[in-house]
Amino acid sequence: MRQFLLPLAAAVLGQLGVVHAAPVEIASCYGSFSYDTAPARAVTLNQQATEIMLALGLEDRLAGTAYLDDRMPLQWQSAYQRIPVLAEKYPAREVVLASEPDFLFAGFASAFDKSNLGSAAEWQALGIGTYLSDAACSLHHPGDVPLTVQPLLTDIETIGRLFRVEDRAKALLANLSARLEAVADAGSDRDMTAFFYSNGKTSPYTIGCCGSPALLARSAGLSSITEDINGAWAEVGWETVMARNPDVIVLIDATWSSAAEKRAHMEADPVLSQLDAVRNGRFATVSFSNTVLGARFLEGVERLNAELEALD
Amino acid sequence: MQPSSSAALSLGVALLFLSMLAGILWGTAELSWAERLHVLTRSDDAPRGVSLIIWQWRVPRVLAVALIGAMLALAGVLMQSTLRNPMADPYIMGLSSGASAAAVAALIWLPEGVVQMIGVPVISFLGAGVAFAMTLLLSVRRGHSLDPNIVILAGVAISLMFQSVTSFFLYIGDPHASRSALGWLMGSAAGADWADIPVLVAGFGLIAVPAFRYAPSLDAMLLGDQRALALGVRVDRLRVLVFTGTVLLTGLAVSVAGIVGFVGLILPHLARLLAGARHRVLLPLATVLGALTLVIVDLLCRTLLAPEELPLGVLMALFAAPPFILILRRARRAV
Repeated sequence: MRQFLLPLAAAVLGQLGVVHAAPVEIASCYGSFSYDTAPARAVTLNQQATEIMLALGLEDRLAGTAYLDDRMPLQWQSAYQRIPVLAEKYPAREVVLASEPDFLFAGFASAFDKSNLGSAAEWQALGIGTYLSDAACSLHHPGDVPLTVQPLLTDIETIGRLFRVEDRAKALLANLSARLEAVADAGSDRDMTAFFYSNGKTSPYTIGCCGSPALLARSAGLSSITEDINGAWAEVGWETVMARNPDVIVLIDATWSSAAEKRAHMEADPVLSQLDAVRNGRFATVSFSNTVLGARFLEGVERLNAELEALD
Repeated sequence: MQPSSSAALSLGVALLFLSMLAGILWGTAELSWAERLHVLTRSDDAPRGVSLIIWQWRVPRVLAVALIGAMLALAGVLMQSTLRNPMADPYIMGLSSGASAAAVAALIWLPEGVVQMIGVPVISFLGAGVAFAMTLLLSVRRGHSLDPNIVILAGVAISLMFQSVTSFFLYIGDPHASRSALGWLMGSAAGADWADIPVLVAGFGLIAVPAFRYAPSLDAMLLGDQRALALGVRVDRLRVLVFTGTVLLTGLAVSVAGIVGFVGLILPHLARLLAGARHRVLLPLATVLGALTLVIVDLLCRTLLAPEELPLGVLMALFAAPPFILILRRARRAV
């Protein structure tokens, strides 16, 4: 009897131990939420959220993904293809609910707009936890305070803790920190002004002072010619670009506005083609995902660094 | 011409020249006075970049904006007089909605290459033309003359239809593409260049000269169709001429600067307050005031938030509201 009871008791206690192992309290932009167990059916709503999950090897916990801004990079493609895509952009709430999620992870605050998924509080009332990338939380990061790389580290640490994969998170953070130091060294003595060109022909859409794109510029040792403008992104007049005559032009490559198309536009324009940077072919390219403070941000800094070195 | 209205006209022309000069001297980029003077005197010391900013961008832009303001105000006077409706404006026959729907559909839906080849200006002009044709078809009844109220109602119906098309494309479009389409809907002269100027001048001249010659007939239209007919005005023919002229004026304006509201609605009223309803005086004054207003508003759009730029529509609505309230109060007192 004792031989039988002991393992049983151990098993029961073990079970209880798993269920009642201290619930994890996760703070997000919209308040904190307590998770008794690690989510098993998570849904990511933006590319950077999906990429953080994949970077932590959590593809088996994903019940769905949505909204790509550009192509999923090669290293994660096979994992990504096994996860259902709920919608090309934001899925309707019904679709999200039908996928029976236990956790929603968004990269941009627009995911929880009324016209998209609805507020985080409503989902939490249904017992479904939500998390918004810390960099996208305007409560924590107002538009006139320059962003640091800390929100990315916070995201990785938080997601690691929530899914009980702290060791993977720690390894990823160590890797990122080492690379961060390396690029900071490489860009430290660079004295170069840059114009970041996102899209727009009649007036260009470019970067502001304080979002993740400006952090990308600073991390590569560039001083952006539009760092006097509040916010993450801004539309400026071409006059400003002409008058401030940047040393280099950084083209942001996206599915909706390719780098090649923007370079061709500047080279064909009778006035813009007279800019020193255009005449001397001093262009560099980063992809849109590199300007978002996600798992591929550092890759963007490294790429920009390499391209700028090649120009010199 | 009464002395007061000719004084208003000369003052308007003088202010127009001053504001155009200001529009060339100031802009989104901060330039030093030395640079500006060197460039304007075509001195050899002029920095090349600044010289390009002023001669290739600011001068054509100010000219285009002045022409567009003039064209919209002229179209507004013509529409208000021939439809005998104070709320009529150049867009009342669905032109802006047709142009917007075509432009937004092209920006969001058509492949980039095709849009580049045809050009958004041409596409939006065609959209305006289609909307106009549909409104006219809806208003015409065989054997009857055109009823202004039916024209207005048909215009409202066609506008609503095209607005839903525009909303549809904005909604399904990628947010980044929708953003640039939205900029177009709020009006901006940022894309104006020298190539636009001859087209605008030709369009304006083609309508302004005959409009001035028809001034007495337009005066007669204000008395009502019956009396105008009695005075020998061929009412229907004049209306169709005016509508066609408006399509040309408005379509060209929209194709260069997108949808610029209020100029065509408010400025004609303001001119009427200053100079009365006689078209020989009203037409030139409204035209000059339209040009003056848009040049000033465009300058403010470029300088208020520099180095960022505001769309014309944002400030135009802000500036249009006070005079409109004034007109309303005057009109109520008159009644």
